[in-house]
Amino acid sequence: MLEIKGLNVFYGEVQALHNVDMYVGKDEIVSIIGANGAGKSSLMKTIMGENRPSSGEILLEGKSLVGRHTHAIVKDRIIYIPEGRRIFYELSVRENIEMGAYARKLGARQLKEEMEEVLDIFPRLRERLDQMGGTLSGGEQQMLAIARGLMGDPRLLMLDEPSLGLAPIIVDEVFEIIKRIRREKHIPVILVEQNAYMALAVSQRAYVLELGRVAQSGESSVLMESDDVKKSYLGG
Amino acid sequence: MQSIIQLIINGCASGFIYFLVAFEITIIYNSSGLMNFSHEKFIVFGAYVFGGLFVRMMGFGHLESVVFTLIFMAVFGAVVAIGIFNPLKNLPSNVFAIFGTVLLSRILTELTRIIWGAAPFGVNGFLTGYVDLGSATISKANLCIIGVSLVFLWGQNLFYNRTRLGKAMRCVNQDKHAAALMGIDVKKCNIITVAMSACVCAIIGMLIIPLYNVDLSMSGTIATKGFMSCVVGGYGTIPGAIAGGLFLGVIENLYTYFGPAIYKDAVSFLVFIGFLLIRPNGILGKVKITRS
Repeated sequence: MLEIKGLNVFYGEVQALHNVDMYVGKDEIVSIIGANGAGKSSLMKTIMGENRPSSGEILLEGKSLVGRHTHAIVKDRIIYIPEGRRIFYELSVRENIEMGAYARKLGARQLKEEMEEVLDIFPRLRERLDQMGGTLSGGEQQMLAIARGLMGDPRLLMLDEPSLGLAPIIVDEVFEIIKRIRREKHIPVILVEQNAYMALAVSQRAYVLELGRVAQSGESSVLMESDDVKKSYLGG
Repeated sequence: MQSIIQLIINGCASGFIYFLVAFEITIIYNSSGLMNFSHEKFIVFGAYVFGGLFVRMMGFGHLESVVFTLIFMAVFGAVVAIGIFNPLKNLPSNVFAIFGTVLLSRILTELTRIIWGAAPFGVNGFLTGYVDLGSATISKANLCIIGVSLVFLWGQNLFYNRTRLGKAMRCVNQDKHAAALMGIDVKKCNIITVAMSACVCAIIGMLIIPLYNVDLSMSGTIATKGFMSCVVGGYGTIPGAIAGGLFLGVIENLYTYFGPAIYKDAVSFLVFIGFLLIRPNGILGKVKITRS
């Protein structure tokens, strides 16, 4: 599905990613864990065409994504739900969800049908369709961001820190939804998280980033038992 | 009593012109965070293209000339966006782009002077004459300004709330990064915005020809007051532009009922300073919700 080979990214003189290799198979959740500044978001931004790698390849089903504009990559239905949710505060919830399908140029009828489908996953948003996005609570905003992402009919869904700043009970809900999306829609998911325990619990495989390098990778269940990971990310 | 109604209608006409200027400033500011300091010259240039190029040099009728001017200015706006705004915006400081627009305004002024000469001229029979509305006599130019502006208001509302492109532009205004992640081509949106802004400038230029003739300095006060309307209404929002424009226009015209008309502009400036001191968020006082 997605294959990353020998990726090097610089911010000016500073190297953010060192020779990163990674792949995401069809129908799996892959999590990327690591501390602040480990390069998780840099990796996402590079996939989305916001950073230009100095070397390396990013291939989506064999087709290179390097050097393309963000909006063109979105048209290939790689959907990135950014850190901090980034919903449109001054658009209504309905408009926010509609904007998720912008790149697909759907007709009014199909748009409505797909919106109903997405709203079935997020009943709480249905009650708030005409509210402004900015009036939602943090958890609802995260739901909205995911709903908006799903409207893009993703071939690959990338979530950046979906649990950031949310109450534990909402975090559980968000992860339930991520699992449900993979189960029902069979969309491969890349999950970037600081909450390593949660991320390892929902994902099949994981990569551990440290200072821009892949320090470890493998089955999530195995990593969860690894001493290094336990010590660094799971609190002993 | 009669003249009060007349003053209010005329005030609305100037108010709507200020609104159009405020609108043209606001959309560029919202989409790219820049102030277009050449907007005054865009207005003048639009008027010259209409009166000088299409009506005088090429001899088209008024209506055709209006259409051709709008097309011409849209292309001109797009070229300015591609040639000046977008490249300069990527430099480390906004100052470069702002200076770019200042220089552009000099270039436009001299260009107009070279092509059409320094002497002002009128466009014969374009929106001249008066209409008697029973209790008030209003110039056709002012009625036309009000009519065009109302249609414009309705149209822009439709555009921003109902069309795909309009909604995309609202997204770009709020969060460019997230807009790109929706698959919106942010750069293209910026180019279209500047083209739209240039068209609005041309509309303003054409509408004020009957009031000021086609002249290199025809839009000086109007451009300034349009900017003041942005501040008085609430900077960076379209409802603010409407409120600020109409408020200033009506206030300064009503003032002429009580005092000598030569201080009309001074009244506007006093109101503007008052707002800056007491209510810098403007009449609507709406603070834009932005990402923290």
